[in-house]
Amino acid sequence: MPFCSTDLGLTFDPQIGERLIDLFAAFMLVCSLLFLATERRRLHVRLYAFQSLSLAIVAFSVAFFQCERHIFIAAILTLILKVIIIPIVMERILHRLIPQQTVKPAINIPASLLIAGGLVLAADLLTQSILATGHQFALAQNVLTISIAVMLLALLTMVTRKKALTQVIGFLSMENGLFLAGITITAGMPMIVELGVFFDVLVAFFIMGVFLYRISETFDTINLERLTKLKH
Amino acid sequence: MDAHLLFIFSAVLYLAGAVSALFGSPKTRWGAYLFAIAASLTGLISSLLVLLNNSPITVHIPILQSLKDLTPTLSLFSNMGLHVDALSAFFVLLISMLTLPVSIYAIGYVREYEGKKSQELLGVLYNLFPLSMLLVVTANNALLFLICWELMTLVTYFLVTFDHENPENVRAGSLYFIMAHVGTAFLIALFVLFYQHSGSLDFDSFRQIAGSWSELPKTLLFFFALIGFGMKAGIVPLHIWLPEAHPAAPTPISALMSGVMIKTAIYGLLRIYFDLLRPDMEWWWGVVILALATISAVIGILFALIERDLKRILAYSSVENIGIILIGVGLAMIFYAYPSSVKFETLASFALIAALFHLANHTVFKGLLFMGAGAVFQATHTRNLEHLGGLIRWMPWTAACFLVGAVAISALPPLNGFVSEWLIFQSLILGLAVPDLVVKVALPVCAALLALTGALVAACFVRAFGITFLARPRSDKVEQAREVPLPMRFGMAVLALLALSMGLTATAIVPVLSNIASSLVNSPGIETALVNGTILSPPAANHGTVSPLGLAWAFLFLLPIGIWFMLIRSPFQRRIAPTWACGLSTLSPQMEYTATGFSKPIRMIFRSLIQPRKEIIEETDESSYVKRRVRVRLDVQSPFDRSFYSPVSAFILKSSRSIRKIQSGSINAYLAYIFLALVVLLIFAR
Amino acid sequence: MNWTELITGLVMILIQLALFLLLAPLVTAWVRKVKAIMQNRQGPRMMQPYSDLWKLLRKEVIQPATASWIFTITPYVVFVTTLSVALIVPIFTTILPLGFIGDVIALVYILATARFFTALAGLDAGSPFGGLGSSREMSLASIIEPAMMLAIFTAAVTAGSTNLGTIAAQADVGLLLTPAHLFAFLGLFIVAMAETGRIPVDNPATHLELTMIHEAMILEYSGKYLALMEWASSMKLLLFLTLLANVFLPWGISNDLSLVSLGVGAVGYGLKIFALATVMAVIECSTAKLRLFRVPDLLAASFVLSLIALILFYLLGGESHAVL
Repeated sequence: MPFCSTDLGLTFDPQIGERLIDLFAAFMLVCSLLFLATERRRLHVRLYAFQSLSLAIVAFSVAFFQCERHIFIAAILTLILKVIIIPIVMERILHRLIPQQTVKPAINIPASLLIAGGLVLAADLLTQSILATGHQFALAQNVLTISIAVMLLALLTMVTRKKALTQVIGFLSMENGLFLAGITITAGMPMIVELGVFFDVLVAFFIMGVFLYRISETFDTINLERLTKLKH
Repeated sequence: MDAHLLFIFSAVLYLAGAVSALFGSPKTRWGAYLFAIAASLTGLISSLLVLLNNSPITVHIPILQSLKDLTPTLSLFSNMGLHVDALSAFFVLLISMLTLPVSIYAIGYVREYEGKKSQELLGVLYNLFPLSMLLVVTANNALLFLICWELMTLVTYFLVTFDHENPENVRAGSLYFIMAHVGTAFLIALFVLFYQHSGSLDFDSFRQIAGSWSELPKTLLFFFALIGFGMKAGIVPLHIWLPEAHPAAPTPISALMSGVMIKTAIYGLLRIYFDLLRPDMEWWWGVVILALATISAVIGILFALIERDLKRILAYSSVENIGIILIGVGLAMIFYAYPSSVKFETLASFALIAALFHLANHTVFKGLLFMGAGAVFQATHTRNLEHLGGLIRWMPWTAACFLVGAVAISALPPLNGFVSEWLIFQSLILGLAVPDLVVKVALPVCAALLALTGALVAACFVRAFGITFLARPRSDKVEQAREVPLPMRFGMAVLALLALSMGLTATAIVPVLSNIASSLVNSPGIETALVNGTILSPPAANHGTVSPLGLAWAFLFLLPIGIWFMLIRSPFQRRIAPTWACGLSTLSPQMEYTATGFSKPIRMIFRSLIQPRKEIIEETDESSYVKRRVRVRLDVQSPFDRSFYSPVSAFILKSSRSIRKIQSGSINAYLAYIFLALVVLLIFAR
Repeated sequence: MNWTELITGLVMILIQLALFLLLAPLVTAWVRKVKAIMQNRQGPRMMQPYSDLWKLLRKEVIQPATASWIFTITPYVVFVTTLSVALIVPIFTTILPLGFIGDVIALVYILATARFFTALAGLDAGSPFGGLGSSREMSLASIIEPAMMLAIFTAAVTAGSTNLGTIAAQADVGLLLTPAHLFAFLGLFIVAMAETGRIPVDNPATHLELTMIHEAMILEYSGKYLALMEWASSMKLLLFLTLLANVFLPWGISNDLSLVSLGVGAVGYGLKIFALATVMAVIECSTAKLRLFRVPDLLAASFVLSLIALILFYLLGGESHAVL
């Protein structure tokens, strides 16, 4: 890759890079929260695109300011795959699915949001205990908390929502959190691992997409509560 | 003047008032209240002298002294005296400050009972009640404290059941009596523990052994005091007697009970934790109190909001205010006892000032609001909000006073409630300096819940005032209403003015409270840091200030801008027209918003906390499509009743039934019990 | 105190008051204009709110027959309390000669005063609409306030002060928000939408009984009284935009009395306010109004955002900046 900060011979206040990463990591957490705060599927897709965009920006920042060149590839892949392709495909699926009435979440929205607040705190505690072991991380510790929190909130989304599509989004968002942790803690996993993960996500996504179709066509809905009927 | 002498005078005058009530003729029925007025006035001056001169007084009771001479071997009675230090003086001040206007009010109010009830009994009890409170907050001996505490409970029990024709009141009285005695049991256990360790029942001896408590007894002491006093204070979930008993009593008594009696429990907590156990205090005690306090505040006001009985609304709101006061106390305990290199004594002192300020404020506005509710009741003979409305035209004075109380309790600037809530919010923000994760999470959550409480209080009192006094009458009871007699109006006006002036002159009050607070946390006063002219600031540099007087002036100076706009063409001209009735020809009172309707969104939003129930009973004719009558029943189920009190009372009833078996009724059996007990005692208690 | 200081102080106070008073209708007009453009309409001209106010101020008052003096004093109370916040909120400069009379906690309670009396006036006329509005307003306020207090808490703790002038002066003046500030900003933004009766919560442009909240309370007001109430609600909108702009994005705000910095402050303030107003209008156009009992969902989000703001603040190793 041709450029990063030192290639261009620029020196930046190290704080700028850190704050940029902090800010966009925080945007990712905002998106995770909003997944829980809304039930509109189209909004979910857009939020996912925005979360991925934030992730891509974090990745670019890490690559640029810390001169971890291989992360550029991950960033570009994120941009193409998660910001453009997956949301577009998902919009299409939405378009094809049968419109349906809203399904009440298992836990109501205010309660799940309050639980989310507690989970962020738990993520904080987890980070503190990891830090207490004396590990040094490439980047500010709060990105670690945010990535753990993004994963936990995604899991919460999957637990509390009954729509298949939301679950897919939860899964993808969890992967975003994992990826955030990956690039910020270790300044990038080995290239091959990252590519492997990408491939996994892509395959998982398409399999889920196919499943969505099947569920929708079989039950006229993607409300997962109906799946309990399968055992009869 | 001599504070010592005045204090004795005050007590004696109450006694004289009680005696005079017995012998007064029906025409001089208000004589007893004159004694109470004189007594409260002397008590007021005496306590002010103690507070301002900062010189505690000790009062020996001659009879008790002679008891001591009779039984020299019993250390129990070593020093059965009263001691009025800064903390006691503050409570004496509050009791007197409220008893004064309430007694004036009572002169008008007791006309209600003329010919219906025993005026003598009411006069006796009315004087004994403040006297017992006075003794409770000054007793310097555990035994004397307990005796006075019981006297207070007994007197109030008789007052709660004063209208005993109403079975509701008798039920409320019994509930109060039982709960109060469970509380007293814990207090007895508390003082027995103290006695066991110190060998005396003197508070002084308790002070001497402070610091030498080990873990378990210390924790027991904490919980005994919390439950014992919490029962009286009405901390959730020990509050269930409060909204029953307070409204049942005659209004002047309700005002005193909600205004000061529940605060004697706060006095007890402060005395135990900050005086007798100060060196032993643990910071987690504060966290427990903070949690309970926050729950009390939120639950109290939520139940007030769905209540339809005006006096019960006020009683529930007392639960909420006790919560706010205890938030300050809990914070002070956390700050004082937090084990860290940096000491937060100044902060502890600040939080205590906030708590004490709110305590005084609540005394004033709750007394005022209860008197307003009593005036409404006297004029309309109903306390049900759904039957009231439009009273502002029939009772302008009462309405104005009630409005002042409502504005003060809703903490709107520049009245007194605002200042104390501001102080509490400031101590919450400053408390984040405590380097502990629990505290750092608990305080913001507490602040958020306090903000929730504040907004709910405003909603509650918009509802209470708006439905009672505004719009048009909802029943003909209102149309027969007349403004209450002069003494009642005067009593309310005094407190209304006090509520206003305590806000504006907050900077004069804070130094006095600071003296009390610093005597409790044993640190030098911080008032120089807090008060600068008319500006209040927390004990941190550049940390935001407030000036209630400044705000009041700002409002006054900006008012002409508003008025100037009014002067543009046709100044102050207005046309009276009927309210828009959505196209109908007339607007009937049935179309007005009801109290139940008003709190519907709150019931919906907080339904998981208050569990409202709706029951629709339909009576139909032969065809199920023709309904003869539809009745809708709305009520709420207290979660504490179902999950705590019902099982407990079921258990007690069940065990009582099994114990009943030993009550055979045969004399021989009873004699056998006595014989058995004697033998057992002889063997084990040699 | 010497005379020049006194006069400068007085001038600053008057300028801030006048600016606050006169700018408010313009911001309301701007929000309406942006909404109109987004809806493919031309929309009223920018000076329309001023003309409306002027017209209303010259009209007589029609008072409902059942209303009492509460109805009469409420417009004054609401107008005066709302205007008084201009004394304690930094507008384009952090120098507030009267800033000591109240801090951000006092601000919350000053707004509560206006709300309290508006709700009483809503009940006063005895019309079912007024009661409906009061009930809804007070209920929503009770869930708005915790979120607002938490957002404010974050700002106060990070700045080590509750004084709004100090918060604006000490706020982190980097170009990028810290995560804590981002969350608190979003939390307060939702609060602002709810408090000023914007679309997901309330609709200032409708008089439909199913949806209206604030408008229902002031339904019986007319003429001059209505002018005062309308003006106060414009000022409230401006107030919340100002809070968002100056507490979280204090770029360019002037910290001294030099003409250059005051000029920069004023221009920066104008740009920030109109940018925020535009964002608000865009959100209003692109979302549907929530059902009344769905509003708590939104406010729970705001509450949790603010809570996370505080958590993230500590995470950054932040300690309370209060100097004990």
